[in-house]
Amino acid sequence: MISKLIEMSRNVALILLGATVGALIVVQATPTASFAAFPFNRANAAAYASKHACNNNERCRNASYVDLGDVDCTNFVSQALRAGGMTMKRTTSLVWWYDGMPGFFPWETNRSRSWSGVSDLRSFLISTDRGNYSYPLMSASTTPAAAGDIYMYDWGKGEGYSHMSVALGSGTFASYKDPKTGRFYSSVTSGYGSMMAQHSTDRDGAPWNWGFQTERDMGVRANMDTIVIRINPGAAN
Amino acid sequence: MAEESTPWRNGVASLIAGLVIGSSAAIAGFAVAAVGPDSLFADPLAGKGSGSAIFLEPMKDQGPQSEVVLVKKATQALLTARVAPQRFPRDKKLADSFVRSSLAREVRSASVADAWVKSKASKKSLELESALEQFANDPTYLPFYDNRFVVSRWQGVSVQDGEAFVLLLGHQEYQNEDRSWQVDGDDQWQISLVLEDGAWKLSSVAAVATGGAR
Repeated sequence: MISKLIEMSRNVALILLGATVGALIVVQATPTASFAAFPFNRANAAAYASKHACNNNERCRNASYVDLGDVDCTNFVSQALRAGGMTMKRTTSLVWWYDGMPGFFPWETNRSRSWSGVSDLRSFLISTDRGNYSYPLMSASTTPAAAGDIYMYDWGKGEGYSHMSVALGSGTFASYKDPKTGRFYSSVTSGYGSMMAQHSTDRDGAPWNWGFQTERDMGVRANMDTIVIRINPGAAN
Repeated sequence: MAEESTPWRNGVASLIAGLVIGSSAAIAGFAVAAVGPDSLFADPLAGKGSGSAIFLEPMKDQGPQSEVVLVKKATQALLTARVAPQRFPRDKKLADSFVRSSLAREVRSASVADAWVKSKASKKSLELESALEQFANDPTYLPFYDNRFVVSRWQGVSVQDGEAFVLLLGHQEYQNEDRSWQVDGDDQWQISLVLEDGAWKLSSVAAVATGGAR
């Protein structure tokens, strides 16, 4: 009786040992979704953004990339991320890539949706842990965004988050009078604060919350929101 | 000999059984993870924001032409009127009491009720008062003294059974303190209206930036 109990205990122990070893073998042999952390040079990303966005003028846009006219904001943000060293990703369901100019035929796509779509890029960055997000106070002069990070805007009119820009860090705003509003960038928060560069309406060295600052409809203003996406170079994906 | 080898064989069998169980469990775990990538790659920001309006293709006018004309006229007036209660008085004394005065509040509430359908008016009035509290004394906010909505292009009006949907490109203009005007960029406005007590009222208003940028 005792010897049978001992034998049973030994077999249970061996089954547990086998299960542990088996599981370890499978886990070790299975490739994970992890990739090497990408290098990200914030200064390069911000310098690219600043170089290729001229205030209210599209002549500074980089001709090496496709120009999406007045819906070029996310294409431009992706270019800056690439200039900062973010690696493209072509495998799995979460991709972010650009392949030169589009082909002649409409099905010859040259980029992933996440390259030029606001919600798709946000989803890619957050889901792959390449970006962490936070909500700055809309009226604040400065935000937690460092150079090379991203601002994502909701204009508060029922469209949701529909625009992106590249954070340039903090400093003195560019000396520029916006023809639409007749206001100088320097008229906002004493001319100093977090800055951004953007495409669509091209801007450089503008207050990060220029759209908010120049919105006169208080109801719309109250609905406005921005998300800061901080690039996380240590991300595994 | 056979009796001596039985415990050894049982041990190997147990170990193999354990290996099969353990590896199967691990594979099953990976399989579950693989078929459910959304749970692995969750995007907590999906669906957040003030709405999900998208740019709509222009449409042909639908409904009696006389009603289409009336709806167009009402739309332009209502898009001006929905912002008008925020106009600051030029008189300094009046401006000081603009937000807190109960009389001013009543006037604003009546203006909102003139622009919005009954079911939305009180909510819109509360939103307006809340926004006024928030921004009237905010040094980053520039008040305006007059406003007008300008239609750049009608993109389609549909009228049927006392309800209407209007699509247009247009913008709001605001008069500054020095009487110059700030002209906003064009948005695509998507407006639902309802005929209430013989007058067209706003039921919903959304705007999609034509260029995505401000």
